[in-house]
Amino acid sequence: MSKEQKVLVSFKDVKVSFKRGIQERVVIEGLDLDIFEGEILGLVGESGSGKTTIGRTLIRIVPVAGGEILYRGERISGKISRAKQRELKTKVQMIFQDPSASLNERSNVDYIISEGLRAFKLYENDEERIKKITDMMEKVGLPPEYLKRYPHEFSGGQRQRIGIARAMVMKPELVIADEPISALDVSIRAQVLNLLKDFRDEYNLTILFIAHDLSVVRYISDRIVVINNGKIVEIADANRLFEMPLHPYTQALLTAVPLPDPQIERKKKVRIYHPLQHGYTKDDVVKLHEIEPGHFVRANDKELESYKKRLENERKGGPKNEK
Amino acid sequence: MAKEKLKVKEELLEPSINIDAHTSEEDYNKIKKELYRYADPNYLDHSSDENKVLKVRNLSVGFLTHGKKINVIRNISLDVIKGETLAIVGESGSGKSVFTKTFTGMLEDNGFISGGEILFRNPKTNEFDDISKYKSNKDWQKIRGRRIATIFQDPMTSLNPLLTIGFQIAEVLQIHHGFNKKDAKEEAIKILERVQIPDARNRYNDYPYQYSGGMRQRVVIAIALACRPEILICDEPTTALDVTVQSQILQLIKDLQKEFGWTTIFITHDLGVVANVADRVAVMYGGQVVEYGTCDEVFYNPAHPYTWALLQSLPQLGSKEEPLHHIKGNPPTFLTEIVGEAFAPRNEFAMNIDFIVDPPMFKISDTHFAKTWLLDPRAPKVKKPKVIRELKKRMEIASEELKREVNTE
Repeated sequence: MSKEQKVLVSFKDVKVSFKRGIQERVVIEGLDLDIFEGEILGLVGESGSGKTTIGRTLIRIVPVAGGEILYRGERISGKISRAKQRELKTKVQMIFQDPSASLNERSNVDYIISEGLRAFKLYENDEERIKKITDMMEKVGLPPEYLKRYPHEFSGGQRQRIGIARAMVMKPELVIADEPISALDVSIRAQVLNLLKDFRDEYNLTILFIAHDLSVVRYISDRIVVINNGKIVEIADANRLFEMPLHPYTQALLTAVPLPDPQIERKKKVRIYHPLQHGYTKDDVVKLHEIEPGHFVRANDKELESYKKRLENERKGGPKNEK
Repeated sequence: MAKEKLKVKEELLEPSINIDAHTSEEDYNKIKKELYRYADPNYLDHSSDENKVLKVRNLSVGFLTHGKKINVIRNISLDVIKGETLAIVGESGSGKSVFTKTFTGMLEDNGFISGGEILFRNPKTNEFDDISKYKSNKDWQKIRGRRIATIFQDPMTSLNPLLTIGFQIAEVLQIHHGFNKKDAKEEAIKILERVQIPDARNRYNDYPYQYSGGMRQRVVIAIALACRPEILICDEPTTALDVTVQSQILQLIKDLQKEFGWTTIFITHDLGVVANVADRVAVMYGGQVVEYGTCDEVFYNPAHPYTWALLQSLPQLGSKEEPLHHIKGNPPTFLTEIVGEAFAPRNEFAMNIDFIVDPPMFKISDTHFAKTWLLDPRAPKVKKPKVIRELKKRMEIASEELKREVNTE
């Protein structure tokens, strides 16, 4: 994090809640997060932790109940002008989890990929449109001959490529990839991950990568945000998070990832995280602290002390635990 | 075309052998026999039958689709040893689910067993019964659920949404074990507690939608547990779940297995899960078992290029600097007949013979077999991919990190 990076999106004290009758359930509270230009930011958490909701507030599907979201310094949450909303729709694109559910079965590849181009009239004539689509298809590794085929004629991996092509043809600045590989086979996962990485390198694309599997996120992301129950519990560089996970929830997630090595797996003890294990009282101030440059962790004062001690121990090169 | 043929001849394992389009079937079989010189067709029968609960011999399964017969399971032989966990690994479309469905007679209507035997040990007589010949539902009901139970991938579709959780477990006890209604309820509550459903008595009358995904899968395990099966087939039980829930469910299955002593057949495409649960591993590709051995052998000394490719594509093993390895192309569709080795078109180590003659199982150790021509003594020696050679080292680095976390406890 040494070099100067431009902030693309910043969440400022964002709160999201869903209302049902008079009941209100707060899903996300006090979210402060910056996404830098050209980075792949991994967002990890269990189902129900609110990671998808964060992605959705960005594309304005889910309204924000408090705080604001800034895109290149301009507010994009709440009421904004129509023109700005239109502009945002071209710049932020989304890739979904299940490639067979997110593609319209009744339209061919040509229509699916060019839908965005049509909506925003991003082409002069049909020839130009076709050229844009076929170029993008080649980039994602689909033969341009498949232009008139329908989604059911493709395999799972190819369908996800259509989903990626549909997002990328708009030349977005930010792509939200919501569990793009969870529904795919292991060998196909690798293809999709490589493809996303290539796009980032080529277009300086920013990707918000949402997943529940830390091993995948580690491979692809520059920074990782761990979220539990609507609150960020830890933010760190991808490698740093694996080196020195501080929050117990991060550690629980890390031990849960199965490693392809039988001897290690047999010895491994899985940690289970329970939110009450912190024993927070009413007087405790629990918030995100920057414990070292670029490494944030959610803690109260006492925990912060013990985390600091661990970091100090590490710096000394001594034993890495305090007990 | 002619040139290609010539090249084939040169690179055949036995230079004197001559195969082309004009070779008669008789000659072809003779040549095949010559090529199979170093393989042992009865490789599984040398070990004693004592511990085996299930023996599959040369099993083939066909399906009738588009008006023709396609072979989806092609000549599989396997042993399942009592009390162990056998993991079956493969991509979607490799036939791993179809293969295990034959054990409980749950093939789709257009599917049929076209050859081979499934020998299942009868604990009363200690003899092996051939269950592949069973036709009627009455026969199957003696096996299905009662002796071989299955846990499916999606817990929502395997539970009836209109019936309470408790009823669905008690029902099994009443049908299979002759409990009366009241006893069945008590027993069902006990089982629910055993699979760690909190407050089981009050949640007995809940419906599946009131449970979370992980809890539902626990209920499915409870139903299987109520059957007291000899073999439990887990068909991707954790694919739809979160990693944290996954590790809990895997642990639960392992604990219960220890307690009740059943045998588990675990189907998955995730090699990380395999390393966690399995004692032995069968890697499937194109309707065949291509590698079969103990867990350690398959992970530390994999022999088949497909196993290499599967391991290489794991993001856990990838490093940020190099792109992840991926397997090119698609798995075979079976609509056209597979000639030679099924994996050959996607295999970077394929030799010409791979495209012509299907390799036999070669023996690596008493418990480790692989189906690739690379193991033939006449084949050229190849170097395994870097990731595979470094697997141990890479994992040691990863485990260092892991140890550090565990130590902080």
